[in-house]
Amino acid sequence: MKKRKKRGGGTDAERYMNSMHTLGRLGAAGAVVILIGMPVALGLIFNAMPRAGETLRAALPLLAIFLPSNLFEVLTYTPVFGSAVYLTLITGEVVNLKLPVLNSVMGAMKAEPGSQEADVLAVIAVCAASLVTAAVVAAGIALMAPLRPILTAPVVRTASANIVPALFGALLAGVAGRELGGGVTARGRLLGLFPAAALTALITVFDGRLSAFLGLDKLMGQEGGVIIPSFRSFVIIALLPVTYFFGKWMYKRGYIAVALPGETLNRRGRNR
Amino acid sequence: MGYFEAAGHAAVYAAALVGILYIAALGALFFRRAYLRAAELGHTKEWVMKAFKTAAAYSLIPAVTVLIGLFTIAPLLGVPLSWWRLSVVGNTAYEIMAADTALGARGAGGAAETGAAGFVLVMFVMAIGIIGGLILAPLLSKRVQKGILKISVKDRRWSAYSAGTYMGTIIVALVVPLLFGVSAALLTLVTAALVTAAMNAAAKRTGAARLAEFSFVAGMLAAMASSVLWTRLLGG
Repeated sequence: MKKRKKRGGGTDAERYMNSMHTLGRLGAAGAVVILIGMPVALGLIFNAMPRAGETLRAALPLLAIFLPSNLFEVLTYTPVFGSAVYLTLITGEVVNLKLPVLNSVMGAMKAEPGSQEADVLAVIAVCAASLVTAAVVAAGIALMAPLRPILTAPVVRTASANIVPALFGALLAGVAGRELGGGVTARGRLLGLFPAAALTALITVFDGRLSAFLGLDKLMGQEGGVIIPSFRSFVIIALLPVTYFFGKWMYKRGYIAVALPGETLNRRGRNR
Repeated sequence: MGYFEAAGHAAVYAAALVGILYIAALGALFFRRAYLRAAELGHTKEWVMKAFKTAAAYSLIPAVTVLIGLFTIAPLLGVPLSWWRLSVVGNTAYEIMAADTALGARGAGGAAETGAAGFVLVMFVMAIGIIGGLILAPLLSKRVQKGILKISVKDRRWSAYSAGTYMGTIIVALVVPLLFGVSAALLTLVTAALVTAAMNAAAKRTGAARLAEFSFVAGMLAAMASSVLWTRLLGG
C-alpha cells in the first residue's frame, strides 16, 4: 500500500480531521435531539407533560453548575481524545472508563502521542469501550434476577466504589516510566508535573478556606472544602496551562529531554 | 398514571432502545472512518482489530461497575431510563443529583408522589442539565485540535511530550488529593500502583511480555479486591 505522509497537515490528514469533526457535529446534534425529544415524546404519550416553568426552574440551576464544567471538559478532553471527543462526550463515563482504556490502548499499541495513529486509536478505543459497556449493561438487564444479589453484595459495592483510585493507581505506574509511546522516550518528564502537583496539594490543604472565600461552599450548600470534590474539572483546566508552559520552559532549558524513535538521550539526559 | 408505572412502561423501553441504537450506529460510523484512515496510514486490518480487542478487554471491568451503577439508580428511575442514561452523557452520581433536583422542584417527598409528569420532568432535567458539552464541543473542539496539530508540525519532540501532559495533569488532580490523610482510597491506589509496577518490572526482567500486557488489569483487580480489606480496617 502506498505510504502517505504521516505527520503534519497533509491533504489526507486535513480531510480526515474535517470529516471526523463534521460527523461529530452531526452526531452531537442528533444526540441533543434525542435527549430532549425523548421526554417530549413520552410526555405526549403519557399525556403528562410537565409545565415549562417548572422544568426550567429545576433544570437551569443544574445547567448553570455544569456548563462551566462542560466547557472545561471540552477543552481538556479534546487534546486527549482528538477526533474521538464527540463520541466520548456523547457516551459519558469518561474518567472511570474512557480515559484509562485510551491510556492502556496507547501503551499496548506503542503509539506516538499526538500522532495521527494516536488519533485513530482514540476513536477505536472509544468505540470499543462504548460497545462493551452497552453489551455488558444489556446482558446485566437480561440477567438482572440472578445478577442483582451478586452485584449489589456489600463486598462488590465496596470494590466497585473504589474503581477510580484502582484505575489511576494502575495508570500511575505507566506515567512514571520514560516511555511516552511509539518509541519516544523522555527523561525528566515528571518534573513538568511538579507545579500541578504542588498547586493541587495547596488547594487540597486550604480547600475549606478557599471555598469559603470564593463562596463556593454556600453555592453547593455544604460546609468545608468543595473545590476538590465538586470543582475538580475547573482545577484541571487551571492547571493545564501551568503544566504546559512550565514543561515547555523545562524542555527548552534541557531539563526535560525527548528522544524520537532511533535516537538516544545523552548521558546527562539533556537534548543539548 | 403513577411515576413507577411510567418508569417501567413499554414506551420508555422503546425510547431507550431508539437512543441506544442511535449511539451504536454513530459509533459504527466513527469506527468505519477510523478503519479507513488506519489503512491510509499503512496499517492492516489486524492492527485495527488488535487495538479494538485491547480496548474491549480493558473496558470489561469498568463496564461492570457501570452495570452496578444501573442497579443503584434503577429503583429511582426504572430500568429503561437508567439503561439510557448510563449509555449517554453523564454518570451515576449526576443522574441521582438530577433526579433529586427534579423531584424537589415538584415539592415531592418522593418519586411515588409525583405521577407520570414527575417522571417526564426527571427526564427533562437530566437531559438539560448536562447538555452543555454536546453544544460546546461542535463550537470549540475543531479549533482546539487544529491548534495542537500546528504545534506537532513545528516540533515533533515537544508535541510527543506535551500530548502526555494533559493526561498527566488529570492524573495529578485525581491522585494528589488522595495523598492527604490515610484512607481506603489512598491504599487502594497504592496497591494498584505497586502491583502494576511489580508486574511490569518482572516482565522486563524475565522477558515475558504477557506479564506487562496484563499488569494494568491485574493491578486494578488486586487493588479493588484489597479495597474491601482497607475499607474494613479504616472505613470509607
